[in-house]
Amino acid sequence: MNRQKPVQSKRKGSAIALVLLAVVLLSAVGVGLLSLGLHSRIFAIRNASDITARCAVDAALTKALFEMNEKLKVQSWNDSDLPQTTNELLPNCDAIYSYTVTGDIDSGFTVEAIGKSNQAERRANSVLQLQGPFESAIFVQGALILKAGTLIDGYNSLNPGDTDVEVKIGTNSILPNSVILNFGVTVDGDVLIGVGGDVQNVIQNQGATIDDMYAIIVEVVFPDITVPLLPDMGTDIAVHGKTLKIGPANSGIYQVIELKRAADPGILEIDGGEVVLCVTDTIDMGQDCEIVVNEGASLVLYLDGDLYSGNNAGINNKNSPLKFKLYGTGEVGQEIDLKAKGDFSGAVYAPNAEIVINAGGDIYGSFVALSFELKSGGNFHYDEALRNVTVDDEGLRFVVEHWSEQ
Amino acid sequence: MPKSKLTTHGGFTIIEVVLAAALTAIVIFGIGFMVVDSQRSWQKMYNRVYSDVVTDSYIARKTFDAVIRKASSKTLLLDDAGEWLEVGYYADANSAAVDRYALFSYDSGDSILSIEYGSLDPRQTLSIHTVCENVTSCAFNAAGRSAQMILTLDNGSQTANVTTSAVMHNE
Repeated sequence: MNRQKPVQSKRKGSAIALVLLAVVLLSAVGVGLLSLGLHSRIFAIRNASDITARCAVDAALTKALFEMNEKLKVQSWNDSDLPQTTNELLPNCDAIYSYTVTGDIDSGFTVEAIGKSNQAERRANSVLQLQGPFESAIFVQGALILKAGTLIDGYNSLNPGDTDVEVKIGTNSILPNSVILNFGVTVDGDVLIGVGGDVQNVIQNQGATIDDMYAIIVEVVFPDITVPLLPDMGTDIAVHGKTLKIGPANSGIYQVIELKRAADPGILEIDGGEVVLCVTDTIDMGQDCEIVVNEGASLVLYLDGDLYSGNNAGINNKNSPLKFKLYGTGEVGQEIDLKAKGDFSGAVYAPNAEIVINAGGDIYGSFVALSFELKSGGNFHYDEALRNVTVDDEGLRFVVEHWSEQ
Repeated sequence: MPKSKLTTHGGFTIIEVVLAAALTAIVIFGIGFMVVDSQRSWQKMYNRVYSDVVTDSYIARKTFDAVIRKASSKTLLLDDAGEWLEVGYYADANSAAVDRYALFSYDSGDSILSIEYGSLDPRQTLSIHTVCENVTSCAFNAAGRSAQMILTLDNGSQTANVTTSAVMHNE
């Protein structure tokens, strides 16, 4: 018996077409997803690289600034051999940085920094500026007390026409009542307190007039003082009942300065130019005794011990505050008891010292100390000229004056 | 009398038809589900990468970063409630002093974060730009020489949180 072969359908099927369509659609979506994922990943990598490059360029600037300040600690500055590095690896990541410092001490220095991470690159330029320790009229680490009725204002001894002087007094402290402004105190400027402090708590205002008061955002740094190389004189300066005149040739290291009254007061006159004295122990001025800085002379005094002043004793600088600078190099708790028969003119940088000042007249200059108390005297006039520093001054550091990113 | 012709076509039973229809439906349904799910995933991923909320958050981060990094830390002004932050900056490399300001402010009514640029002396507004829209919350903080922005964007279907900080490099 013959079996008939089933007749195949002549109609075209649509299953293959459907399956192919689905495959195409799914492939398109899959490729789209992969593409999106790829773009997303590339976007994330670029972002991460950009952030890393940003960190690298910041690190480059920080290191360049550190290197410049280390170089500054060397006694004699030279403009050669300025810091630079190329393609230095930033630790713990794949970024590299480079920096170059150009310029000289007269025209200023510029840091060109580059940070790279993968394809990302950041460039920043910074102009560096030398900053001295006398940026504020009075700045302390602890307590600051002003007697009633004191006026704090500013002037510029090098430019009398400059009447727009920024005056600031303040403290790094945030402890209660660190700043006591007694009745009638007038500050022609701002009062600053330590980072994060509460002005109402830190400043005890007993009726003072001030422009503004606020907490600083970065703690003020008190640089170390390096005593210059001076000959050890192997003796003291002892003046009893007479006047001793010394000049630049007498610059050197002494153990003690002792001025005592006999029939007449003991007076130490600084004359004939710049005198640099380093006192390893104390300065003791008896009743009516004085250190006088004559016109045209200047005195830079490094003091490791305390300074005592008897009744009516004092330091009489007949020049602008630029001509008398006292650097306290002692340990915390150093005592500096400053007096002046008339006006006091000078700048004192003693970050570990407790300074008490009694003046017969006004006070001109700037004070940086552990604590400061103005007990008697007239008004306080900050000399803005103290901000003008040279590389030979003390307590200097480079700071960024102007930063820009390309 | 002619003999009737027998057909050679095989027939389908009703069971075969139902079974075939069910199998086809399952396959089509499966494929359809995969296509729709893939499309939904693609859309979701696309939104994560390119939606207005995401791009706005990216722009907000970049703007904040660029402005704060060139700012002067001495000029920082911060609202007690943290709703606005103002910094001063140098207009260009030749500026001797900080002569411009940038003010970030959050308008909760319009849900926008805007930035106002201006000159400081005399104080004069130069331009105001909308940094991003759909802002549901914005807070500014400052500590030391750093400033921080915490931003939340929400367009109803997607939320983006941005927390970004930058250091003010000028004194």
